[in-house]
Amino acid sequence: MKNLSKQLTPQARSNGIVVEELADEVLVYDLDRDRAHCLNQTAANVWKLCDGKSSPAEIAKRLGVELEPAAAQEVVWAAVEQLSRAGLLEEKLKRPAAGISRRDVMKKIAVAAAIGVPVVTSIVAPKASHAANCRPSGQACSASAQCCSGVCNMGTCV
Amino acid sequence: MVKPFASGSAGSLVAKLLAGSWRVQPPLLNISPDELARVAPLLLASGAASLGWRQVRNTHLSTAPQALELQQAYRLHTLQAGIHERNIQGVITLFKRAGIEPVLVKGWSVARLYPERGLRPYGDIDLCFRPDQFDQAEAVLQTEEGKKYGIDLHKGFAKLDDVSLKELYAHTEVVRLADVEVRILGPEDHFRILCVHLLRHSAWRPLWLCDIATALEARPANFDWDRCLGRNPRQADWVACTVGLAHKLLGARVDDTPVAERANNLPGWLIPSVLRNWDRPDPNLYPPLSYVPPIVTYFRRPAGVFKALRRRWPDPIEASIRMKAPFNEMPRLPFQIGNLFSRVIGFFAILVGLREEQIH
Repeated sequence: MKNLSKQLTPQARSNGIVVEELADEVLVYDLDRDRAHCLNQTAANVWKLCDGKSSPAEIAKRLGVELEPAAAQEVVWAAVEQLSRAGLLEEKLKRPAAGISRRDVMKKIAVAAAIGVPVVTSIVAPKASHAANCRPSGQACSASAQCCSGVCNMGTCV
Repeated sequence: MVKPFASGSAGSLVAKLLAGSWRVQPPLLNISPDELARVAPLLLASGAASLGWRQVRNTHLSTAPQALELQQAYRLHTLQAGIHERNIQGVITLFKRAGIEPVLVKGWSVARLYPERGLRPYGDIDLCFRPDQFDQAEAVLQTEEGKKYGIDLHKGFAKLDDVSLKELYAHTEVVRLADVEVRILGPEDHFRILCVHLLRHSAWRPLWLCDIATALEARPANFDWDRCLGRNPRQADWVACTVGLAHKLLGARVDDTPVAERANNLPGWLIPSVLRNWDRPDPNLYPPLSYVPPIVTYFRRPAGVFKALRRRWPDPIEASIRMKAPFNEMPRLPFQIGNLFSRVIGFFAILVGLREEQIH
């Protein structure tokens, strides 16, 4: 029972991450997994409300959006699931089996689009920008200064 | 306002896109989708992608695939800036606890002048120490806590400038990064060092010229131009010409500077040389990534020696700086040949053991 109640009160991670707030999105770098994520405004708002005490229903209320409660909760759940997958919650969160059909969910999400569907995306470095300063491990080199590690050993960056 | 560059080369497109990009209110950009497609890879490769995104994000091109790549780079650079800033705070606190205070050069000290975090990416944290504190600084970095940071330590400032260490240090200033006070070079010394550094490296990275434009327009009201230009007239002229490049290529404002006249009258070879490098601002073409096997290896296997020699042919800007040449209308070929000869002599000096240095 204790576990179930924990699962239903998502808590945003606060350790091992770097957060940068931009005008219309929030960027999060996971120092443990070396992964970068971009949260749109809706996802970021939900994430900020994940205090480990509030349930998705309570978060939906506190989001302050003008949606019927069921639709607002769908928005929260959509965000929470993505945040959980991205590793931005303290614990993985499993959505309890819903008593509504997939079609109903889609309808509610469509309504929720009025406030913006929550989106959590991974940030991937564009290919060309990888080589902006130095060569990663395993790449050929002829001088240590070429390597990100600062060590070129037998023609290969360490 | 400076007229946009007439040429349709990739380098001139880079200049067109970056013009004014460092300002709080960047100018309206008029660029076609084809031009963006052409210029975006160059911005990504040379570290100017964030500035590129800043220019296109409020235009009809903001959803073009190339623009979205620039946006991804901007997001990453913003996060990297946050991580670097945390590390700078941590490492400076660590050194201060040990009773020594570094001077932070390049990197953050330039990036902080831009209106948004993440516009100016940097890889290293460069810290300079007085020679008498250097060994202690190295010892601090060998501790468990010190090993966490990727720091580039410099003994004094000799590599950066010919002004004495004592004089540079006397003009340093302290700025705040969150809760930590960070010592950086004075704005005049910093500006001169940025200019000479750009020229020594052939001005191949457009971002460096944006640094000049940013530092120029963000300079304090009491900026001492005499101090900045220094006592060496030739170096002063190099600085003035670099200001001129920022003016002509990126539209930096120079009207209220004592170098305005020179900035408007640059030697004919200078801008084409920069734009040629901006046509291919690829780090792999310039040191340190361009280092090829030492020329001595071709003694045993001569295949490829001509290609290797061609890669060593000096750029006109770099050759002029290394030969301490004036920036006048004289052709650059004599300086390029002179630079090549001096390097050949240096090469043989190393070969016979008169100098100790790695041969490239």
